[in-house]
Amino acid sequence: MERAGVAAPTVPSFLRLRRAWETGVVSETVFGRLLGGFVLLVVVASALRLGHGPAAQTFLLVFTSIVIEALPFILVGALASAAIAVFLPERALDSLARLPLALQIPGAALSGVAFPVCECGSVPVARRLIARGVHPGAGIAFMLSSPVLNPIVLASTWVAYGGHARGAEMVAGRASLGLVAACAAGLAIGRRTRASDLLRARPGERAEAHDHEQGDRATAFSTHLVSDFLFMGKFIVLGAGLSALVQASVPESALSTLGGAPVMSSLALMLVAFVLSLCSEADAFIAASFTSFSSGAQLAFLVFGPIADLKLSVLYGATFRRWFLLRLLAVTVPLIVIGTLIFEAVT
Amino acid sequence: MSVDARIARGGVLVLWAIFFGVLWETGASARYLGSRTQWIVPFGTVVLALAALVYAYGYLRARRGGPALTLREASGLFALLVPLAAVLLVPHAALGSFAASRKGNGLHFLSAGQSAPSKPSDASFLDIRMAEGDTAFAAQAGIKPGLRVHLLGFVSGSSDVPRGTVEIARFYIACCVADAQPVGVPVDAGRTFAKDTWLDVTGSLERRGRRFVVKGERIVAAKEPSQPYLSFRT
Repeated sequence: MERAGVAAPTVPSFLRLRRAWETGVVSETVFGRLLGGFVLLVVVASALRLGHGPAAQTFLLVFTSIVIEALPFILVGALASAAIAVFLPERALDSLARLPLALQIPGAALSGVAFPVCECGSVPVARRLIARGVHPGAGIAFMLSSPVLNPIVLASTWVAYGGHARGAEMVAGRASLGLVAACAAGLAIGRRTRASDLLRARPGERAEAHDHEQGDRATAFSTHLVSDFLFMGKFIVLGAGLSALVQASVPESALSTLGGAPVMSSLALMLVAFVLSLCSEADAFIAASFTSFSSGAQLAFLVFGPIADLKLSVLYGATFRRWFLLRLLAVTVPLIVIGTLIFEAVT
Repeated sequence: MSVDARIARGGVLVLWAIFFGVLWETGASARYLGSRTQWIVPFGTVVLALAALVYAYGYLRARRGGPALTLREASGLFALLVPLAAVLLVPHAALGSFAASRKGNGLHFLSAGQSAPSKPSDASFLDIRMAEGDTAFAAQAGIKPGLRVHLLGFVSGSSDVPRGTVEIARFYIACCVADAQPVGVPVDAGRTFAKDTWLDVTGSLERRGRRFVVKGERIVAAKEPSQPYLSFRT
């Protein structure tokens, strides 16, 4: 007779693998082997002259240059994020959180002017602000506006368009459409969202909180700083790799010839901005090169690039829930297209 | 025995600080960043080194043992080592004709309003291209048929040149290699050269249709310069 009892539920093998991946501890022996294997791989690849072909060199150069340019800004973002986590008094954010949302969101978006880093640095800061109680809508608005509204970006836009009236037009268009897009995204995505519904939990966050609770601020600050930096850094590496892969395999002309009609040309340049993953401090020089496109389409490139691109998508995926990027695109793409049509009509 | 995650994290941070320091010390950062963004390298060196010191200080002050390194975190740390491995793999990587065929046509710098060179004979690739379509700039820079110029660039293999000429080009960078754009000038060399050959060209400018062409008087193969990219003057 079969014995009645509670059989242990069978855990699917992929779940077991995933659990092992997330919680499995690396022993010193395994770590040594992994490190040795990594070094051996580099030595063998170097001996075989892998990476010396023209396509591989293009890929490696674009990849490493994006990482080299972005990492210090990630670190600055991590510094600000750690300072917010450890040194900002609870009551400072409480008073901000009590403001009506109609003031919080544009206020947060405008405060991006005072944070002169590119889009990579603003993500960890926004995440920390939301985790500390700033309304998700305000955090999103800050994150999206700071790479567009910061003075270095606006100055480089002015220079790229040769200054004078044309430069001023593009700067005004970029700043105003960027501000509107950031506020709209903050309002549409964050209005009815709780922080816990928006942010992805991060491994090791409990240990950081524990350090903080122990009252040792130096330890807590250094732990927050390094874990934010390393967490964001690996996703920048992945995003830079994707962008470099596309840049090395697809000619820019193939992407930019997608545009034709006004709306299509804006969408085409937004696609180019998404793929290239340029820093917002440099993208104006590229935007100005698309001379066969209207100024509205160029503005779409300038406003959309700092909001979403390949490297940011990977970063967003690691920071926010999966639906975030889709909703962000659903809100900002139509708004930017409409904004560029208005821009063309008035300039 | 498990690995203390804090030591592994600190190790990666130190490696990156050293890498930035080496880029700064050797000037190798010129292969990755434009002249306007070179400040990122000393800035990154200092900030990364400070972060490593702060982390080491926090580690020494910690009253309890750190978390064990998980497979997941180890993979993330190894991912951060990939760019360092890429640089070790091809330390002298440079963009060439392949990248020129994938990138744009360099026309974006035409709208940036580069200032004229201090003397006409210093005219660069970009000055010559700007002078093709901007008569005011050409007059200000003194770029006109008959001007003797000296250019160092690689053979781009572009077919968008007047018949009987080969194009030599240089990449111009605003921030980093991701935004590099080739700017080329046709050279009447009287012969062909393999793609990516670096040429040192001295000759006089001629007008052929809408393009300026350098009528080569002295053309010699050259080594790739230590700074393969150019930046525009503002």
